[in-house]
Amino acid sequence: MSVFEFPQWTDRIRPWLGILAVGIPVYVTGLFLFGASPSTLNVGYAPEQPVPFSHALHAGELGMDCRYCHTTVESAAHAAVPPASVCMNCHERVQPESPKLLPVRESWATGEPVQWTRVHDLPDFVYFNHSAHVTSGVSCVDCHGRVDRMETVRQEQPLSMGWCLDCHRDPDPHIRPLDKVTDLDWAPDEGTRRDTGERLRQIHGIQPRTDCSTCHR
Amino acid sequence: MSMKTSKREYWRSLEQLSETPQFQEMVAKEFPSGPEEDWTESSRRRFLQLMGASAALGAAGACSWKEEKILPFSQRPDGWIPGKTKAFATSMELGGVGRGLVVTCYDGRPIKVEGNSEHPESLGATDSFAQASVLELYDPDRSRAPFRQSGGQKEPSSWESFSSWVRPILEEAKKDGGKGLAILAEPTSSPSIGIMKGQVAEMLPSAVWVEYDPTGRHEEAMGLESCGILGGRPVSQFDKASVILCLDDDPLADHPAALRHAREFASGRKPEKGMNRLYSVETDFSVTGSMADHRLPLEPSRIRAFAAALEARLAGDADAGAGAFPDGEGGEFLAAALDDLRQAGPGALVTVGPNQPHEVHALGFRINHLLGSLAQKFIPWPNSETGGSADGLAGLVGRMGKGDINTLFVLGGNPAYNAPANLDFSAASQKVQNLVHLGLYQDETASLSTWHLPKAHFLESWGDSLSWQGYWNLAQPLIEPLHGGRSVLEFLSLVLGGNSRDGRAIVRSAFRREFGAVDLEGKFRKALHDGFATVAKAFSVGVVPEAVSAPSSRPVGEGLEVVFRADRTLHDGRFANSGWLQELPDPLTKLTWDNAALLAKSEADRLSVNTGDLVEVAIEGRSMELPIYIMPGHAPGSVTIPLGYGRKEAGHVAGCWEDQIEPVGFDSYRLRTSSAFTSGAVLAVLKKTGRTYPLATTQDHHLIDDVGLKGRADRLGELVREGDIAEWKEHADFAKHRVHEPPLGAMWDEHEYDGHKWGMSIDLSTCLGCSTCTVACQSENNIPVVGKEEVINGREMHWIRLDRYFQGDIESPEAVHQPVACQHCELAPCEQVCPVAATTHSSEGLNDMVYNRCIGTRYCANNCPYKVRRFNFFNFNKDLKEPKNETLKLAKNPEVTVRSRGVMEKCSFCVQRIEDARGTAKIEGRPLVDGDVTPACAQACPTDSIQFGDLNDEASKVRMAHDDPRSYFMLGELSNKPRTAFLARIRNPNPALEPKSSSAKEEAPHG
Repeated sequence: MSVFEFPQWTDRIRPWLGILAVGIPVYVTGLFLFGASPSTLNVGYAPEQPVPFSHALHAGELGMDCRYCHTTVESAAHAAVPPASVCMNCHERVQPESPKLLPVRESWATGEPVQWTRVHDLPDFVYFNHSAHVTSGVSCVDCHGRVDRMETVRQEQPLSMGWCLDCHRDPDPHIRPLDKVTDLDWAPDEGTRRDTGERLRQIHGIQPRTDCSTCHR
Repeated sequence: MSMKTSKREYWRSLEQLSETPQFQEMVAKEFPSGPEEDWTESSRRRFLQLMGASAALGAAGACSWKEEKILPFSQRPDGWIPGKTKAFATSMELGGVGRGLVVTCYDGRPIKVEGNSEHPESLGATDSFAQASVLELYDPDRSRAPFRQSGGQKEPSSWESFSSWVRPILEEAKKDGGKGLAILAEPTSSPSIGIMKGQVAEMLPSAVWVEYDPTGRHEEAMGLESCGILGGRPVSQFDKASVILCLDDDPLADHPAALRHAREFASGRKPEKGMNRLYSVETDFSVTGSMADHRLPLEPSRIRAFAAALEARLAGDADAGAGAFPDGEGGEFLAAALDDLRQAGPGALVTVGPNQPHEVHALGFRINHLLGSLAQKFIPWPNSETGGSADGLAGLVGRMGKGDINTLFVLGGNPAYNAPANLDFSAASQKVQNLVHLGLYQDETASLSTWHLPKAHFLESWGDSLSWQGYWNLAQPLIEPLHGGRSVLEFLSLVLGGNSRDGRAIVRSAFRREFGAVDLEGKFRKALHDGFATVAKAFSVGVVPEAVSAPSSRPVGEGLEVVFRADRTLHDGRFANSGWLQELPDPLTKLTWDNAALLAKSEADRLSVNTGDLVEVAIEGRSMELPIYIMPGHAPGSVTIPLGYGRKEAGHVAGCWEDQIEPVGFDSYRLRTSSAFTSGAVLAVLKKTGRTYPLATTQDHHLIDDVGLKGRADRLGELVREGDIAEWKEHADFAKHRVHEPPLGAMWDEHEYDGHKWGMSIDLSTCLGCSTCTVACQSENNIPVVGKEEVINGREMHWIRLDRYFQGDIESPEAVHQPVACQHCELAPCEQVCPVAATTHSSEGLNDMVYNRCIGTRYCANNCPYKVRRFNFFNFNKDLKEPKNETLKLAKNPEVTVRSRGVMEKCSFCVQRIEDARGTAKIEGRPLVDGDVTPACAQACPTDSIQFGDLNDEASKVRMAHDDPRSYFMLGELSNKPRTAFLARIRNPNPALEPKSSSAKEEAPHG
């Protein structure tokens, strides 16, 4: 009875098998880590909105201040999305017939809200407070990017815990004068952003905390 | 000189005292049995199914979370900031007396009820009923629409069809002056309703208006009447009293003015400012009784005799009552209390409980008069009727039975459930052609009615009421009626033909009558803002009740004297469908989800029954089965039966026969006849059945044990520390030396706290054990309700528990309460054992709990010496996903994570409130100051026993409490460095009444 013998050429595969045995798990793990990372999953998320509102036009070209619409950003956790009445302040006269603005006019007439899709969505166990950041000199642009250049709002930053902590541990490059918070194009007149930030941090006594309960309760 | 230290031995339950095998097992295992131990084959299979399903779900849903919508206002109201809470003053009426509240609203929905700190009768505190009213508002079982019922068929209807149905009926009734028409209401002090009542009487002069309250205070009103004061009420001022005697009374917890009483009483329990002395003579162990320096358990008939003897002795008969109260059976107590009261003179105060007959109330008023007490005054009360008694209802039901009443409006209340058993309201109601019921729930009365209409909750409606001292409270709606309900005011307006739904106008016009038309809007708006307005009122002092009729003696016959009383957590049963209140352990029995017949140990021994045994209780030919609960310190010769349970049509929490949900507890109203309204008026015969019933009591849960059973009694004495005033005078810091605290070093690096250093202090001298903090915490922190079975398994989730200890003779022990929540140790043992760093130490000393990290090993709970960590064995919030429970979501605090299965949780020192205060201070550009942060428990506390603040701030209240010589740390000898300090309880015993020698041991002082 003859015994099956692997042909000679199979010997050359053996080192490859070893490499694959190590390589496949490494590759799969790496792929998973990359694929499940917030910077892959969330950055670039730009859902279509019921009204094709252009921040590039309003905040960029027309130069409107962020706080004209997001009025509560300095006083509350939420930087509230404006009510339809704010849009109608201008759009009663400007482009009053535009079909794109139909949902806003409907909301204004009926009292029913416009259903915007949330772009920057933190997990429910995270308690983020806009006012705490804005009143410390952290600009809109640090988390939201150049919204004044976006036709459709997209998520610029991963908004992951590690990303938050980077800044909480080293806030200096992200602190600017309080009156420049909504100036997305701002750069210090002299010195680096880090120097300016450090000086302001000391003046205002800003100590970002890294305790768990700062954000989780 | 040798210092005498009385060594006290403490116990929590009779099981512990007698060391039953079950108790030993419980202590040895530390935690009640886990889920793996009750697995049966079927539950194992179910588990695998669930696991399979959740794995599939996990795979499908892992990619990204659900898309969320943002819905802005079309037009945002002025000053409205989304996500910022707003507080509004309002008031709640219970038992016809208003309580001042401040309600926090989040985006237009009420989420938390607090006391109104500016209200003279709330003083910022609340009771557990007010705390739980948020859950009642959002109860998915509330009535959602009117229905019409004929021939047993319920037909959904509307307010419009009711309105068109009732109009001709009322027109018809007007023709004969409303002869066959009756209104059955709850007693109310609402001035608006008072006016409308007058209008109804004008329009329908022959109509009957009856008020009924099963747990009212009409005996007190009758007592006053017999003293010649018509339409008045007594106002007790505990801050003016130095010696207080409570006769079967619980003025600190069960009274419409309990919050003020408690605060005033507590102001007299600070050893450095002088101590009052409290005597309590009572049948059942009450909250007030647990605060007493001397307590005498007596059956009701002997309480009556005690009051009579006291009065007679004061009137000059020095030997009165000597036969009834020989030495050793209350004789010394009577003499000592009398002496003390006499010496106190103007500072003496005697109060009488609402269940005592009116003769005893009259005796009480006369005793105060004879003593020259200035601590009790009388104020006039506008509704002069002594409404709410069983007699009024009996008259009405009699006429109903004869067929004299063809239209009956039931405005709130639930007579089908809580009317006296002998009246048979249900049968009589069959003879009423039109029975219209306005109620929060489709309850027992609703199913007898021809029309049921949903009532608006007090948080949804305009209203007014008077507080116990006569302050004019206003109530304003905090939310639109969720289910289109209408308030009693709006309903009466409809009956009167106005059909006005403008509650504000009604309330405002009553306000105008009292306060005048000058600057009405300004005054009204101020009153709305403040929640109340002050009515000029005349106190009358010096009632001279001359002769007082002698109270009746013990009923003749066999059996135990019966006391029916409102339940301490469900009241008269109206709150039965509140999971928070059902699961709130009774302050003294620690029973949850049940009522039981409370007996003295000696009486139980005589019947050879034990806690949990079912007995047949027979009263005047009626009988039912009730479980026994042996209550240490209950008077022998009597039995106490709490009311408020056994609801058949309350809802999905308390019982609902339509959906085959068994009633929770036992409907003791079935035994309560009109003659049984006063304590000890009837006798009960108890017969053993031989069967048992599982009772869920938390008294032995989370028991802190040191080294096995040996030395446990010593250890308990170290956890809760108390001393007499004499001991305090000698060594104010005696509590610190009860335990030898060896100088232990830290096992790991200590933290440094440069900024804030949060800490808490709890004064055991003033803690009543009322448990309001537990409900307040539950409401603030989204703590789930677990149900009776899980309570039996020891899995109740309350973050703050009230440990109740007894000490001394089992027939007449002393009680002491100790609230225990997470102590936020600086060197926390729990933090060291968490494998995933889900519990960590914050830079301000908080022991943070990070739910999203927790994997549920429960190591932390095992390593916590205080046993304050709670594990979510199940997803207790699962019900929220059901569509019908949509409204329940609204009761959740959005600032606190709703926890799921498998995570640990515990007191966070209300970190969300700290963060909120920090944010507010930052926006206002100022540092945090003392008083900015108040946790829910401290805010609700009637006696202000809980202080919270920054220990680095030397002027803060909490720092001062920590520096008080009375302060000690529980288990401080473990060198955990807890952040909660307890202030030792100080008792002020009468030296003439030596402490019971059976339990006090003389011991040489330490060191």
